[in-house]
Amino acid sequence: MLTLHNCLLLSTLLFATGVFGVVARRNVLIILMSVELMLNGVNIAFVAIARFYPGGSNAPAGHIFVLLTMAVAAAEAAVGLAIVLSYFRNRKTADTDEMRVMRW
Amino acid sequence: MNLRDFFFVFFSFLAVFGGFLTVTRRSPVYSALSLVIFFGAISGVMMILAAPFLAMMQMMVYAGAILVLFLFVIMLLALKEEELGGERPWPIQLLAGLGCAMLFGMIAHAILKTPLKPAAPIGQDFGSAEAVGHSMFAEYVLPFEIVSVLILAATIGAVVLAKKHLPQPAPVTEEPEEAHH
Repeated sequence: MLTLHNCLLLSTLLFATGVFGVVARRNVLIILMSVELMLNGVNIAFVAIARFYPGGSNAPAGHIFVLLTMAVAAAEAAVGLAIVLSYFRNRKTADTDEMRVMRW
Repeated sequence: MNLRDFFFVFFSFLAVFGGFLTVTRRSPVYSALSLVIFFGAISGVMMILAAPFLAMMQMMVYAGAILVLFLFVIMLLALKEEELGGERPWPIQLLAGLGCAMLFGMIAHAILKTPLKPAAPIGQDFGSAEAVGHSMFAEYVLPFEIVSVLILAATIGAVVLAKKHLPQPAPVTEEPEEAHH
């Protein structure tokens, strides 16, 4: 059923899945993808609350927040993947447990 | 159960399924492909939640840009099986799963305990590109401009970080100038 409770539960479930990915995996690419999962879960919560309590506006603040979150997620993915690429080029590993130094 | 509820449940399950596949696949390629399912389902949920513009942006930004970026990096790394890195031992994974289930349980309990006011009605062109655009360029123009600076900084940072280091030029030696004349 399309209720605010269910939307927030979906959002929480996606966020928890992302947390699991960050905690339980060691491949740095999958960890970055899990971060995207968490950001998307939060976006669902913003959109759901904007949908059910619009406050008389046709584009409530939740929609703007989601757009800004998307921009931040894009920036985060770009910088994160650049770091991964640079690290792999120098150290030949994508395993977070083997990533002990950030200098070379 | 009307059509809207049906699609909400359908896209929710699809999103959870895609997210679960993303965090459990061994190879990042399969994770990235599961992420396509996930982003598509999220876009569908946003469409049902009366945010057509955001659903479109979701497809364009996430499925169109971020995912391609991930696939490009996976392609550039070309990880071999032994370079994928190890996995954590299963007791730790089980513990992490239990912890995340507890996190979900606690937040879900808090959500379900919260009494909610009845939803307010929404307008005809709620969440359309026009409405969001008007709002963004009138009321929220300052955050918008700040985000543009952030993206510029991230772009430059990504280029600087990912660029191959060129061979250093030979150090300038103190040659006597008169020798060339």
